[in-house]
Amino acid sequence: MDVPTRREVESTLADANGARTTLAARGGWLRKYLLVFAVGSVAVVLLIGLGGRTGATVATMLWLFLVAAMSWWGARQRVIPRGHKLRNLLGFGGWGVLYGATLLVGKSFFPSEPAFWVPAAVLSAVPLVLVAFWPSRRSEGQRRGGVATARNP
Amino acid sequence: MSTERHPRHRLDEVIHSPLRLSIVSALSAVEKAEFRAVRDAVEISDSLLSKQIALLEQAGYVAVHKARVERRPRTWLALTDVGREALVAHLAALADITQGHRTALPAAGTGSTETYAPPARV
Repeated sequence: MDVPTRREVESTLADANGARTTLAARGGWLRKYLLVFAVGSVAVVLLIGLGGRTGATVATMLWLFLVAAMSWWGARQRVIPRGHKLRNLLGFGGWGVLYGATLLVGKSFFPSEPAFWVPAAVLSAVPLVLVAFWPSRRSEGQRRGGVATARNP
Repeated sequence: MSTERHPRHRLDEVIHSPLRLSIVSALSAVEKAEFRAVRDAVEISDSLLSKQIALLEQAGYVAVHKARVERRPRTWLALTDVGREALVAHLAALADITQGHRTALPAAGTGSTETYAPPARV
């Protein structure tokens, strides 16, 4: 096999980097997906905790709509980012634990108390926000620019 | 120095093609991608991408999976572990070639050689 020239290697790696960056960017939808659920979680917990019976009904409808809409949107994406299963598992697993604990403790000991429900609502969204920004933009950028290194394929 | 030790012998023949290297590099950034997304990222035609994917699939570097979403057929492409290893090895060989100060590389467009200074991004 012929040894490539310096210009050939640079051009080849630049093209490969460009393709990699473009495709990786199209996987960015997962971050938005997780953040929408995080915001939805805050709203749902607040409605359940502070909205009474009506609030609970609206929260259920809101969550069902959110799940249906985001599932439809997610299924239409053309790029699945790396680690998306683990991110979903950790995000929604952590959310489920915190959400369940919030309802259990809040309904039992702090009914309609904003001092409990407001921070609890924010806390319930934390796992989703964490996995939305993991990997961080910085490390993702390093990966995107890393095609030219053997250590970071 | 033995000829066999030169890093060019470690270049992967399948992904030595710039086009296939671009495809494999793009797929290395994601878990899987739909055919058209790869086509747009690499900026080639459907038929050319099909040919390259067939070669990469034959080499075991890319897995092809067909599915239907809302009754529309979709072709998903994913880099296999073998493909990822091949990419790592190929990039390592390229890095060795470009960083090997003792290696004389042919200058572009000439038959002469030059002592190579590694580019910043390699």
